Amino acid sequence: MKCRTCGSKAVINMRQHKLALCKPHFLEWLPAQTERFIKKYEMFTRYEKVLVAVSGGKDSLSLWNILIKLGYQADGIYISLGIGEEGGYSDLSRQLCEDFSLDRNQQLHIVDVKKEFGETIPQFAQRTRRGKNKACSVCGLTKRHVMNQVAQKFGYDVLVTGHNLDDEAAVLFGNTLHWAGEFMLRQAPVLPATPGLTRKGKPLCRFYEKEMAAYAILSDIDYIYEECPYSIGSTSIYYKHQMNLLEHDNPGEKSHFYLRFLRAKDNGLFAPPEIIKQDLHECSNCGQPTSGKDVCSFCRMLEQGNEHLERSQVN
Amino acid sequence: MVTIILRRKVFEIRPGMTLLSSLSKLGILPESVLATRNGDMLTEDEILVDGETITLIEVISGG
Repeated sequence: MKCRTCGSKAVINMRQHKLALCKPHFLEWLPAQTERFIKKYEMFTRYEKVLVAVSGGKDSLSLWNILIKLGYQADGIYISLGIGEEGGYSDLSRQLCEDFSLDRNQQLHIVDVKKEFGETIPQFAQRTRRGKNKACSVCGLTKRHVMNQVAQKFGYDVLVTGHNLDDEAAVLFGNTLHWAGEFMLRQAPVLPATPGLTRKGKPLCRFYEKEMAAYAILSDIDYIYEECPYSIGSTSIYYKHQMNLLEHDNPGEKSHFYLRFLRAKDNGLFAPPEIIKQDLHECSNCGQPTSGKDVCSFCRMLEQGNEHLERSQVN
Repeated sequence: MVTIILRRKVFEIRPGMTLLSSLSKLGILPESVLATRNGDMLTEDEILVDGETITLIEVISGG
């Protein structure tokens, strides 16, 4: 197969775009498309401070690499979750993020969940109602809280994550199966800032996961290949597999599913956001916006953890 | 034979088929892997030859 641009040997064939490219042209094409999506969805400009959430995985490190190459002011944030033994999953992913930032001379904020809040994610998951058999729920809540906290504290204009099209299509697939309309309304390439909440963007939301893995490999980005132990057998991976079965028979199906959803939303298929707008107020403990009565979900989870610790110490 | 490696699994497959046909024979979705030969990425029309080793890299992650 030949590169459509120069006719030399292709390294990737993107059937949904009917586009095969060689290494140099793929490494030009992907950042150029990223730039196009950043502008199309008005995510951020070169005058704004960008905070990239990095996990050590292929998507987030590739995103950081692309933004640096495109000339954006992009710093990183890594959240150490305490998953795995010493030298295991979290330690390895942290090391990869630190090495990446040092190699490129970029600032990396590191937040260690255990040092900051007293327990690791697996410990929270064990001790709280939210976490019973659902470490991913505790993890997501903690990451959202910490990322926004750091973005607000250091005055970043936008927080970006490495979610790719497979991630977005899998979430949409799950929300559609369960008619979770409220969640569907909040799914978008960019979420504007509101008081206390930093703007969020997903510059990779139009790329297939395979394209992002190819970019990481061809760019020699050292990323964590090992899966998070809690994601093995997860629903999101199951949904991705189902979407890929459809994609295999009908190239472009994943992309159409996501893009037509965005278009339908723009065309008013769903209730306008102001109708379901939640009444947000400051959490009495941490000050971050919450729709809860008094404290936010994250602080409630911390309280449950602390109550459990106190009970254990008394017993 | 052609050796195909996916994480800890090792498959042996007869040479002369395309990468796409080989993956199909093994029940692996091409959308979920990248194939490399000596570190170089391959497209799915590549014919696999006797004695070579193809390493598959899984591209799907959770979270």
